[in-house]
Amino acid sequence: MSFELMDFTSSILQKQAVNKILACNDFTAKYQLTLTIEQARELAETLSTTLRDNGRIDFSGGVVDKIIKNFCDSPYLNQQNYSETLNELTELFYYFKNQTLDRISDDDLIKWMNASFDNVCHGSLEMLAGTELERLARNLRYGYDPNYTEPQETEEENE
Amino acid sequence: MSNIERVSRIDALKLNQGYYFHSLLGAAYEKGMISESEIEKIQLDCIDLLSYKAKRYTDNNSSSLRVELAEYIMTSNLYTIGLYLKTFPVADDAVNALTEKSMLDLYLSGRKIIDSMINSAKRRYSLVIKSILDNNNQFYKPTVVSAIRGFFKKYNPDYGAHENIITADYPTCNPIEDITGIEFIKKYLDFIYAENMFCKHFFPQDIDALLCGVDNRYEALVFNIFEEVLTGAIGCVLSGQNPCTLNISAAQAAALCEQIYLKNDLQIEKDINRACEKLIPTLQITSRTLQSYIKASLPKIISHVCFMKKNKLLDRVFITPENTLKNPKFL
Repeated sequence: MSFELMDFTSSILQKQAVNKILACNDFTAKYQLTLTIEQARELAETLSTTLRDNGRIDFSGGVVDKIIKNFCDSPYLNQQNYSETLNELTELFYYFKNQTLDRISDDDLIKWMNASFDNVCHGSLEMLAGTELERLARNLRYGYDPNYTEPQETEEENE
Repeated sequence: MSNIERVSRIDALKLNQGYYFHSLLGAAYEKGMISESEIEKIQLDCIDLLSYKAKRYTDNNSSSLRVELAEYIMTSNLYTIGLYLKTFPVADDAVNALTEKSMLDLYLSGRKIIDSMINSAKRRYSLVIKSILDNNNQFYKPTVVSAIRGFFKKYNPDYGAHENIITADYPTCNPIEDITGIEFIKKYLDFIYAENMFCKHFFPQDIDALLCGVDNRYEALVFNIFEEVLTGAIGCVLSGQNPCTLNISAAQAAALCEQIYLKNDLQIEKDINRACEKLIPTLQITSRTLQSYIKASLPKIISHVCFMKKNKLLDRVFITPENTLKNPKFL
């Protein structure tokens, strides 16, 4: 009798997650964004795989519903890129949850991602991951303000 | 009729005391007392409890945890539940509790037990401090005084109830096996207190002299003081000397060894048990707990004496004290 915690929670999580994701359609429909059952299942699978890859366990069906509700009013999302973007945002969220050493709450991390995606990144997931979230993670690890920006690169090199 | 004991299908003594929850559940399943669906229900309930604890741990700020942390909290939860399950005199009743009550209820009952054990251990710690031995062994006071104090500061009964926190470098005469967390610390303090109370029947300088006889640099050795003192006192009784000073001459020690070399293990066991029966009233030890602790320590001493006899090393067991008075405060 052993508790393989990850396997055990993973199966529960997937069932919960699909229902939570589909329930979001009621909220996002006004932005002309919805997910099919297949897409919801795919997203739940991504959630499960991402958690496993990042060595994390989730107890409440994940944060995908929160990501959906925060991002659905983004000017850079449309029905064509909606599902794919949510999959990538889910992966980024858990990866950077680890990279920030859990020093930022779920809600704050999602808000940060959303604000960066809509503003400085102009809808670019590459820029969000490679620049903004990297900067956030580094600032939090060093105990700096999340918005701290390193001095100019040339100054850094001179030092 | 009052003497009739209920027969338990599960032998509680055979269960792993360190992983009591798992062990009990496994035994119940083997005996057919619990079905697979009931085990699944318990597992789900454990996950719910973990989810509840995780939310509290993260202050509701994160719905996920790193696997290592989740497993750590789960271990703490199951340890806490296990403490409560151990309180059932009949293990079968503990199985019933597992199937009838929620894991949260069981956990909260266990948590109350932990609080009570912490208080009890703190009271025991203050007695240990009052009875601390005047001895310069580098492991004794640093463990018994400083490390245990550190345990009380760092112990986290909510999320790390199973943790020992400290390594307890100074060993007790009777080993403490299988148990961890506050259960271990409580027992460790109980043992150390009993050992201190026994050693308090002797002058510190006599103990110091005996230990110098064991090894001139005993301060740097990891060993149990009580065990040496008890062995020394038994040696005195066996030589017909007064055990209160722990003093036997080299000639007396040699004569004692000669006698023991002629005996078989059973005779040695009888002699040592008999010597202990004399020692307890001679030292006016009235505490039943201390008497029990001394008697529980005898098998280890007997086995050591028999082993050393077999290897012709008895002269290292019954030691003549060396009055070097290394410690200036005894001068």
